Amino acid sequence: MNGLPIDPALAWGSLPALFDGLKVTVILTALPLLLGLALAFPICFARMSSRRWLALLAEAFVTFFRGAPLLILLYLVYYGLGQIEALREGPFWILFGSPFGCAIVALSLNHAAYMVEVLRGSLLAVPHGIVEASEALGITRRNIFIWVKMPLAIRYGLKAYQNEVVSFIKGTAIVSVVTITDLTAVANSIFEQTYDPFTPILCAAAFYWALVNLIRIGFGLWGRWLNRHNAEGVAADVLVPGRAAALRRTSDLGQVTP
Amino acid sequence: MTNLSLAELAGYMRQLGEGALVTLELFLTSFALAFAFGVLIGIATLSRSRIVHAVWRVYASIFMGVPSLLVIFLTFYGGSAMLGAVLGEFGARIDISPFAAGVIAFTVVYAAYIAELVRGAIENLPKGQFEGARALAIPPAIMWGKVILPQVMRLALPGLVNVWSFMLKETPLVSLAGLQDLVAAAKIAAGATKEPFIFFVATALVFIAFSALSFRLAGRLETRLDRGLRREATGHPPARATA
Amino acid sequence: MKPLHPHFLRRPLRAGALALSALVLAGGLSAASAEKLRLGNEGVYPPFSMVDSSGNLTGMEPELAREMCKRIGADCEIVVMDFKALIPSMLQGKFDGIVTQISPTPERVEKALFAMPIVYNPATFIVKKDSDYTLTKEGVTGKGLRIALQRGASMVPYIHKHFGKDTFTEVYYDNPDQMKLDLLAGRLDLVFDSKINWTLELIAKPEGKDYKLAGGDHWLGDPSIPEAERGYSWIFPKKSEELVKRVNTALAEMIKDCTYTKIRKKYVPVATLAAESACANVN
Repeated sequence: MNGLPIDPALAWGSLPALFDGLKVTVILTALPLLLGLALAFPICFARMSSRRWLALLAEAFVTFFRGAPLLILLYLVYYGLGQIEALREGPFWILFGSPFGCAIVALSLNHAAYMVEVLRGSLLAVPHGIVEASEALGITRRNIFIWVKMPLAIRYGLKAYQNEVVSFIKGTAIVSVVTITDLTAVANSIFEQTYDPFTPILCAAAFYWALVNLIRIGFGLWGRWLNRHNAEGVAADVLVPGRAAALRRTSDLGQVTP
Repeated sequence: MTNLSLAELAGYMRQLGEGALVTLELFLTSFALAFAFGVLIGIATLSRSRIVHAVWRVYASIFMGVPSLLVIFLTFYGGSAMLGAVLGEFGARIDISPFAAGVIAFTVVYAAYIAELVRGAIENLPKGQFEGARALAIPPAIMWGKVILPQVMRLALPGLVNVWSFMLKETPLVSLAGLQDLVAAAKIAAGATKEPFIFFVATALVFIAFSALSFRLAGRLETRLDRGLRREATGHPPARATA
Repeated sequence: MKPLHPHFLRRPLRAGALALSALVLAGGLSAASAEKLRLGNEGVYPPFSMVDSSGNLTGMEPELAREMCKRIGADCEIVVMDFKALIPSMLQGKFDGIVTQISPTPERVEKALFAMPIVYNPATFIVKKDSDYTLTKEGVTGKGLRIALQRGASMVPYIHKHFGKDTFTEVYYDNPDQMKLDLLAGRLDLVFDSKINWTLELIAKPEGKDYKLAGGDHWLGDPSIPEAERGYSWIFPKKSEELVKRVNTALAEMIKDCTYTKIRKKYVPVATLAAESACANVN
C-alpha cells in the first residue's frame, strides 16, 4: 500500500453502479419514512389513550419494534414469515414474496416505533395552557389538534425528527441481507470481485455522507422557516426522545440545568 | 413442517446463548472504550485552539454521517493495510479479528456522539463551578474528577442512555463481518433447521430483554446521580422543559 | 487434536479492561513457520461443510482438512466465515489458507496459490420441473427470470460473461441455505450453483420433488485448463509455496491410500475426483 489506497480508475468505473445503488437506498428511505410516519400517528394516539388496553398494546408495539435490532427484523420478516405456509398461499405474498416488500415492511415498522416516541414527546411538550386557552375559545378538539398542537409540536420535535431520519438512512445500509442491492451492497459486490476494500467502500461512504448532510441542510432550512417569526436564537428545542439523542445540541441539555 | 427434535432445539438454543455472550462482551467493551475516549475528546474540544476545533468538526462530521456498517467493513478488511501504512511491515502483519474490528469501529463512531454530549454538558455547567474550584485552589485533576465530571454525567445521562441503547442495536452488524455472535448463531440455526422464525424471534427477545433491563438500571443510576438535588416531586416530563 | 469448534464456543466472557489487550493482540502475528495454521472454511455448504446442532464443524472439507493437517504435522484451527469474505480475508493475512473448494478463475490464480484439485463439482442450473425455457442466452432473454447467485462466487462473473448482465434479475445470497429457503418459498425462478450440493441437498430430498437440474454442466475455472485437470482446490497465499507443496503431497497420499474416498463416502455418495476411481470399493 502506498499513499491513498484508492484506485481512481476503479472508482470512476464503479460510479454508474454506485448511483444505481444510491437510487435504491433513497427509495428504501423515502417510502418507509412516509409509511412509518403515517403509521406512527394512530399508534401514538393509542399510546396516549386513556383506555388502558389500547395504551398497553401500543406500548408493546413500540417496545418490540424499537427493542429489536433492524437486522433481526429484516431476517424475521424475510425468512421467518417466508416460512409460514398460509402466508405463502395468501394474497399478502405479493408483498412478502419480494425482498423489496419485506424491507419496506420491516423498515416502516421500525421507523414507526421510533416516531411514536418522537411524536409523543413533541405533543407532551406543548404547554397545557395554550390548549386550555383554545378550549376556552370554543375551538373544537380536532381543530385544536390540527391548528394549535401540531404546529407547535413540529417545532419542538424537529431536532429529534432530524436525528431519527439521519439514523434511519444510515440504518438502511443493511438491507443487502435480504438480497437487495443498495448502495452498500453495490460497494461490497465490487469489493468481492476485485478484492479492493478501500475504493468501493470509501466511495459509498462519501455518498452516504453527502446524502446525510443534504438532509441536515434541508432540516436546517425547514427549522429556520418554521421559526421565522421568532427572534434569532429562540429556537424551540425540547427534550424529545429520539433514536440518537446525542445529536441534540446543547440547547435542550440546557433545559435540564438547575 | 416442524421436524425439529427437542435435543436439537436445545443444542441450537445453547449456541444462541453462547453467541449472546459474545455480543454482550463486544457491546460492553465497545461502550466502555467509546465512553472513555468520548469523555477525553469532549474535554479536549473545549480547547480554544482552532486546529483542535477543525479536527473535531471533521472527525464528528465523518463518523456521524456514515453508516457504522461501512466503518466496520473498512476496519475489518482494510485494517491490516492501514496499520501497515502507519506502522510499516510490523503493522501489516497485525491481523484484525471481527471482534476487534467491531470494537474499533464502534469506539471511533460512538466516541464522537459521547464527546458531543459531554461537550454540551460541560458548556452548560454554570461558570461558577470552575471559578469556585479555582478560587478554592483545588488542583485541576480533583476539580475535574470530583466537581465537574459528576455534574456532567448527571446532565449527559439521558443522552448516554440513548447512545447505549442505540449502540446495543447496532452490535449485530459485526456478524456481517464474520463475528460468531448471537445473530450469526441464529442464522446458522435458522439455515440448518429451516425454522428461521423461532430463532429470529428468540434473538429479538434477547435484545429487548437486555434493553429493558438496562433502562431500569439507568433509572436507578439517574436517581443516584440526582441525589444532590432532589427535584420537586413532579418527575421530569418533557413538558417541564418548555419556556 | 483439538476439537475444531468455531472459536466463539471457547471464548470466555472477559472484563472490559482485558478486552483492550485482546483488541490489539487478537489474531496475533501469523508465523510463516506453519506450525500453527488458521484455515478458513464456509460452514454453510452442505454436504461439504456444515455446523451441527452442538456447534461442531463437520462435512467433507473440514474432515479432509483435519486429516491433511495431521499428515503435514500442523496444528490447524478452522475458522468459519461467509464465502464472500474468505478470499478477501486471506488476502488481508487473516488466514494461512482456505479449505473450501475454490474455482481457479484467472483473477484468483493471479492472487493466490491453488493446491491440487480436491473435488470436481461443476455448476449447473436448478429450475422448476414444469419450466420449458432452454438455458441459453436467447432462451431466457426477456423472461424476467429471477436467478440466485452466491456473493463473491465465480458464478457471478460467469453468468455476466455468458448470459449478459441484464438478462436475468440477479438475486445475491450469502450461502446456498438461504437460496434454498427462497427457492422453496417461491421467491426465485432458478439457481445457478454447484451440482453436487444441489443434487444431494434438494433434488434427492422430498422437498425437491418439483425441481430438476437443467442446462448441463458448466466449468467456471479458467477455460484454458485441460479437461482432465479441472477441479476446485483449496487455496493459499502467494508466499506459501512451500506449504502448498506439503499440502499437495498429503492430499496425493490421501487419495492414493483411499482415505479421501473413505471420508468422501460419509458425506457424498458419488465420486468427486477421477483420481479416486481405484478406491471405488472401499468403505
